[in-house]
Amino acid sequence: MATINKERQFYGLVFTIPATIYMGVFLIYPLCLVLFNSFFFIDAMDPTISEFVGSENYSEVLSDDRFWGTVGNTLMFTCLAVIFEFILGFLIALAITSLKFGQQLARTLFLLPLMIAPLVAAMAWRFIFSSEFGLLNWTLFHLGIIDNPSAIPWLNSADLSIISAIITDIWLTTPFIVLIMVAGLQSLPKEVTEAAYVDGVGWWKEVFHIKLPMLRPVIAVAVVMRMIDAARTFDIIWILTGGGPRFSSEVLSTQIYRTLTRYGDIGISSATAVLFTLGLMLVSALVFKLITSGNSQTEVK
Amino acid sequence: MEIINTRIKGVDGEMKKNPTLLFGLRVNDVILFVAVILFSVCYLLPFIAMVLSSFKPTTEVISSPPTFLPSEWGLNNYIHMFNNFDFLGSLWNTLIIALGSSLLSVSIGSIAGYAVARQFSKFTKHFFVLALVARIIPPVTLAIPILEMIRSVGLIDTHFGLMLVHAGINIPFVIWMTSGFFQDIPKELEDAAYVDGCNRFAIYFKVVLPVAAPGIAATSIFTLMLSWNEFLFALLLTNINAKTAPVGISEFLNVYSSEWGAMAAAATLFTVPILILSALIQRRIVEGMAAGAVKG
Repeated sequence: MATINKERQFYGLVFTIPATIYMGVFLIYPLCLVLFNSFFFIDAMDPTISEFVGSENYSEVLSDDRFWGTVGNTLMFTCLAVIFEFILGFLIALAITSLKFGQQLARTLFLLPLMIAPLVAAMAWRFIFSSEFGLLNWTLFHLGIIDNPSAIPWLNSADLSIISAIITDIWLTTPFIVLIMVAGLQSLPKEVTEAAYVDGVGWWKEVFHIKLPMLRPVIAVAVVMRMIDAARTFDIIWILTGGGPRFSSEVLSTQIYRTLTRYGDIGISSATAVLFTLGLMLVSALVFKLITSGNSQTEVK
Repeated sequence: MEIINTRIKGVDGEMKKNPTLLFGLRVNDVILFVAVILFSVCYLLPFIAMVLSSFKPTTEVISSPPTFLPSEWGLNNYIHMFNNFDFLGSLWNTLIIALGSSLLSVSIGSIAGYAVARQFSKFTKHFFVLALVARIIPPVTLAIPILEMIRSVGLIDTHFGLMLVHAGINIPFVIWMTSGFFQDIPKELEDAAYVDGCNRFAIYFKVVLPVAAPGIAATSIFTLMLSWNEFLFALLLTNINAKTAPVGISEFLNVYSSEWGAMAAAATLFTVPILILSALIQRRIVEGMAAGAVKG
């Protein structure tokens, strides 16, 4: 036994070493470098000139109103996008799984938006949202909802720009929730749903008291995955609004990118990135715990 | 069991009120089917509108009021795009980088995914946690040092540079996804080969991989697509020689300000092949995507 164990340990190491080295070079080392840089002032013109400044970068970031505005935007973007994607996606998945035929066709159609690059989706929605030639405003105008076709400045107003980005994200990734929930619903044991049906449990009760609690682990993974991706959104914002107007739709990813490329401020952008990464790890661990922990209680009911 | 059967019959009996159409299909089912399909087609309208725009005369693309269907179908936007921009070149760059990074990440990641699935040692468990945590790191966080690293080794604006970076981002994903597939493979085959005196490398390559081929294929499709669509690092690390299609598309509206027609044409050309491909292999993709979440 001992030799088998040793042999297993040896191969466990050998099989994972290439990936460990690769992740070390491209993920762990850069992460350490970001942490290291966040304590330095680094000259934008000549990066070799650097000076240890302790926690100065952090206090500068944390006392900056724009940073907190961006944090607020990122939270709002993530929460609204994930909530609407989940509700919409779950309803569509329920509709698809109750189809007596054509489930495959419906699934394929919903797979398509998911394959569209976020960048292309944002471009398509720029057409839709445009206040001069956008289909959305003109449709609303023809329906008599607004009185002139440029009444709603979807992308050019500080109040609406982030909403437009959220709509684009919801459109692009609801299908992800649809596909995962369809698979989840199909994996539920037939006996349970049939028994509920026979016992005359109503549709709402069946969905809320039987299906949703049983799908809890699936939902936890799907929601946390979506949350992480939504919080990291870059492409949609960068293409759709560029973070504007006046930083009204700026999220952490675009702010860090801008601080790095436009202002060349490695120290500040590193400190922001460290705070962002830590925050995201903490929040995703919390949310995952939150969704999975209530599990046993609901099942007892 | 009998009770359930009779009850179900009872329910069926009630359902008979619902008039049937041809082939014994119920009206409600047909209505639901039509509604779902109609909804899913409408769902694609924002993208369809852009594809249609690419076939409009150039001035009509941004006409106010807008049209949905082209008044006159034509390839002007495509011809203009090919004559003025090297979009084919950037498509080629994207393809090379996507293929290279997929090959790299899948070959390195899947063997690690196998070790994780079989839990060879304590180390593999810690390793898996590391891979999961790595998946949370925002790419923009890595952007700062990776720009420095790639610049310092002189790989800026090269296929190889972006390929290495894409593979790095995708490896945690590959480990996570393949470990799920490997868990589904019964151990008996491997045990038999082990007793026969095969070493673990031989077992992995000769016994496990052939069985896991569909899962590996699904994973490769995902890594291909992730790299094909990736924008942030492409924007940061390529500009002329290795410029990828997403970067090219983004430039139509930024640098050349109002090339909406050419942009729509380029975006269509970039996306439609992927859509056709994914419709053809949709079962693989859906299974792969669902496997991760449903198995947890």
